[in-house]
Amino acid sequence: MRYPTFPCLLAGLAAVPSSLTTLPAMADAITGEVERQPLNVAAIVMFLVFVAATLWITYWAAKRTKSAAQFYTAGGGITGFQNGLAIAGDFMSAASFLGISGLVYVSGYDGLIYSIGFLVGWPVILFIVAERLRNLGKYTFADVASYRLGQTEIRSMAACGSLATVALYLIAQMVGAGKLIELLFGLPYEIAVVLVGALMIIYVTFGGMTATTWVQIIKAVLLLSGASFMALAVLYQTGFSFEALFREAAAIHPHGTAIMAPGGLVSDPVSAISLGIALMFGTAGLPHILMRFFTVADAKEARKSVFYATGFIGYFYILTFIIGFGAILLVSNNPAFLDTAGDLIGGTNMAAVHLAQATGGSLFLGFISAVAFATILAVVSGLTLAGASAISHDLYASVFKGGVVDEFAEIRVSRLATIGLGIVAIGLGILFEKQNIAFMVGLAFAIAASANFPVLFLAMFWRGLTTQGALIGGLVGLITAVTLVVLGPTVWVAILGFQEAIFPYKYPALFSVTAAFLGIWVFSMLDRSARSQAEKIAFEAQFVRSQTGIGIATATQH
Amino acid sequence: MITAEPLLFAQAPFDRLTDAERRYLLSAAQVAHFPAGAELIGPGTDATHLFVIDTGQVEERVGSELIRRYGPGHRFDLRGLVHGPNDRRYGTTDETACLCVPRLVLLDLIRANAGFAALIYREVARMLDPVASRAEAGQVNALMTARIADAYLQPAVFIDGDETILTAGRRMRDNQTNALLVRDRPDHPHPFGIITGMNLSKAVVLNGKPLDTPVRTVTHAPLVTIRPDAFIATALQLMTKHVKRRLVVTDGDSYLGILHEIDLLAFFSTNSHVIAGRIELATDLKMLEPISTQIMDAVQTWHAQGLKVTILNDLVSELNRKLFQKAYGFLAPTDFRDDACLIVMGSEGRGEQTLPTDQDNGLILRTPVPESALEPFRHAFAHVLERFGYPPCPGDVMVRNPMWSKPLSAFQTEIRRWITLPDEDSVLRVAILVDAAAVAGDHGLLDQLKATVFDCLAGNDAFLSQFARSVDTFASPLGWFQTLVTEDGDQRDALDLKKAGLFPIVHGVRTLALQHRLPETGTVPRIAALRRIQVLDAAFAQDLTEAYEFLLDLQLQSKLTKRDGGTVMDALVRPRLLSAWHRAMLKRAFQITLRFRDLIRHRFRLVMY
Repeated sequence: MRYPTFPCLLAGLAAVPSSLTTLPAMADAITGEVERQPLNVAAIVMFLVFVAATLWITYWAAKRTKSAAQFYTAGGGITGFQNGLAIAGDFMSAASFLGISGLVYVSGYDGLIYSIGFLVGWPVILFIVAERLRNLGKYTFADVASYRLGQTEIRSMAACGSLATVALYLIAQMVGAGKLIELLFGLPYEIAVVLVGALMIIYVTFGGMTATTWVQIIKAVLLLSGASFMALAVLYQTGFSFEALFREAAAIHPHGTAIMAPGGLVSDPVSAISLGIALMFGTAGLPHILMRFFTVADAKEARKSVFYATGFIGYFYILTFIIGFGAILLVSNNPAFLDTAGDLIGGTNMAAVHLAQATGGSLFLGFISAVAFATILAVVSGLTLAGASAISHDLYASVFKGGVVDEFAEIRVSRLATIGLGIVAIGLGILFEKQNIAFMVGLAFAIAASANFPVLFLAMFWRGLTTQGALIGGLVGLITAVTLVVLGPTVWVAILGFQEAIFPYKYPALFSVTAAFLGIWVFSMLDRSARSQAEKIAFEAQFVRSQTGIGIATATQH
Repeated sequence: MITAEPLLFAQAPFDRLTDAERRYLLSAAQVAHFPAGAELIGPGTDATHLFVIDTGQVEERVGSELIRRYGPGHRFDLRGLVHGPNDRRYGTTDETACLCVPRLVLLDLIRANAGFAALIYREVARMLDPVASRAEAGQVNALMTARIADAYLQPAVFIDGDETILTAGRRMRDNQTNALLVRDRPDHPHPFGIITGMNLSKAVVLNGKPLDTPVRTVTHAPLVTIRPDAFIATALQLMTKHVKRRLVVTDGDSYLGILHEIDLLAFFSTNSHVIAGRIELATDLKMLEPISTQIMDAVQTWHAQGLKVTILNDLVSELNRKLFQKAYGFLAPTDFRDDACLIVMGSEGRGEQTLPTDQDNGLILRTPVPESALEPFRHAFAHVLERFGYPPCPGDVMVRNPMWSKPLSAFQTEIRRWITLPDEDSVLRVAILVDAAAVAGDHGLLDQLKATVFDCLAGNDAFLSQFARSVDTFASPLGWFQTLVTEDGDQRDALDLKKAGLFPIVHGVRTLALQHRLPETGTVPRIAALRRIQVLDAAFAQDLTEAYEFLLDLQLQSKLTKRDGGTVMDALVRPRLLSAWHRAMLKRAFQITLRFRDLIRHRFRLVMY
């Protein structure tokens, strides 16, 4: 028996027109036509109640942190455990929740491989990034990279990388939220996206900008408990026997026992390695994740927080796996969730949402939809924060104003940037409705791994890194990644309609990351300027600080 | 050679000065030369000197409008010196030489010479009159805020018109007053005139009237009355207008007392020099003991006089530090007295502790000192200050605590640990330490210690952010629709000024000062320094300073009231008891605080928490 190739599986998952035969890796996708359904009033009411409750809890938590008896906030910062939850909250997007469970629903074991790919990025952060980032005491990736290098050049480059990553990530969330609202409320997609976008702008400008750690913690707890409940409900059906779960699922699933074995994902070694590199190093280049190490007390807490985050995220992916199999068991043969053609209503990405109804009725459906929605809101607020910071601090204050800027002007720019990002997200969300948004997330990871990670890594570990090298190498990584994706089968063939791809592989990371490292190395070595000498000398102080947290001399001020 | 002196002493009121007072004035005054176009006093700035022009010319302007020109022999700005900053700008038009008399010297002379003082205040009152009628909206000024009730009043003692001069003299003696209110009959509530000791003397000695003459015949009428809640400035104006030396203070039908011109002048002249002199002259600890009570009393007087609260703080912290320095001199063993630095921290270090509260002090030693020498001093010092009226610090940030009295190197090691491995109290400790000011011993030790703090924090945005986070400890008292939100629970209608405004401003400014390695410790000087290095823009720095000073003033007022009432001197105020104007100012101050919090939140990325 021949296993269906992974791209075909994805195509089925996405339920997009069959012309789109090859799809990229990042399958935490929510795509496809959502058919208008009769309104489920009970679910809608529950949804609204839970969203309101979530917002209220967030408000309450933010307020509670402001009614202390002491004048000075106790302790240095957020504890490792809290920060771990917050990181997990930032990382577990609705796309992963709905997308991975949907992927498991369609292809079984391959979905698990996928989620493991996401997890591998975390040890990289644990061993390479977290502790040093905290010791350096910097806020963003741009701050670290420009620690001893030219502010203007590095910040411009870093801002481009951050904005590209953030924008692509945002689109995925927008489309996800749009689809969810479309399904639940029976609204036209465009109106759903505009509604969601407007709500996000309001939330981020007025409420979300306070106590973001709490927002992420609350969201992570909600998502984990909602998913746990669903997984428990599934296991209850099978008498808490995994064996029974898998056996029955394999019996029902059209692919039979094939769902218990690896599929097309690892069939092509270059693509597999390329995907692996994007996932592994992409996480360490995500701007909104890197910002999370700013708030912990010290390096030890930074390490702890990655440890906890990895645990929560791993647990979450196990849950999505169970949920996916549960959906095979409880949803795939229930005519209530299928359309006339026998496909899942709303696309396979709604598998988890349907499962919620199958296990807990309309009430639970409303709850899970609300959790998914709150998740999107929280992820968007983290992303917007990173994007607004790149625009207001890196581009406006440091590059355009040369570091001399009225603080209130920067605040205004930051608020405008938030609104601007929201509007851009709405526009792109509508434009990309028909596109596979997994592709956008994949590109986001690839760009993070190609443009951000090499500069960050070498800035922390290589004495020889110079401004020229970082600038050119970073841009090489960014441009290579974007170009190869455009020339590859996903865009060139599937979207632009050409016969054959100029670049044969779907995932650019193997090539673009290599190009970035090479570019940085070559142009740093070629840099013989006096400035580069000073930068190399400054490495010593930075290195000591990154390893110990102790400043041995007055560091570069900006 | 300066020729302004004869010109100065030839004119009133300086012609009233005695030779000794003239010498004192000249010894303290300086001659200064200014180029054409120099600004001697800017609008809104404190006048520090009285300028007497020798040669050259000065113009007084409001905005671009020319008010007056001053030539040789003219002097300015008496009004500003007594009354506080105003909108006038004094600038030279030619090269100008001036005799500059320091403000404090002038105040000393006012205290010493009543005749001189009377004329000065008459002149000031005359100058103020058009100002008051011009109604400078919103412009509160020091003199204007002090009220009659704050001044010393002679008791209101009555005499009937038919009683004799002799009886009047005895009654004055018995009541230790030199003025009586004269009424028609005992059952007639309202007196019709006043009789003074001077009237009696004149009647008997100059006019040869018999001692049994009814006082009615020598009584001065009518009475000029004033309400106790009227401003001091109004009293000065009334005295000038009616050419009276006494005003009768009445509230409805009750007669509260008599305000004498002399007491009005004395009211302006309680001087810190007296207390400073007492500290200086003390030869043992016993003589220092009553000082802190005297400082407290002086604060009350100064505040009542309308002295700006920041100046008040400066005076008090100066006196406190002198006191500590003296006590240190008596108590510290010679082994390490000059090789150590006594520091005061927290609000005392910022010079913002108006009423003596807790001890917040420490000792930095150059080199380790045997415990046998150190330990007795630690306890003796804390004990003595406690006896002086400075209660121990609840957090034990005191010389008594070995953690706060140890060698420089031990401090430095600890600071590195606080910042690299922050624990529960790191933020608090760094905050206390960065506000430290040297009081006695080798001040250089504190400078070295602070340099260590600054070095450790250079570029450490994450610690600074965690440090800054405390500005958000308490919610802003401004609710939706800009209402004032008061406390919960049993303080339902009260508002804590410290939580709501003072602490966020002090801490935010401190964080910026820490980031920019500013040596200043006071909040207002720090704001000025931040403005100089363009961290805060000029307009906002001004707003912030004003908001801070307003809140500080309100807090002091509230504390003093509570001190009188014998209740706990906390920072709670009840907005509903404030005047509409104060409430509006309070909201404005909170709006500025909120804006400042936004700035801090943004600069130190507090959004992330």
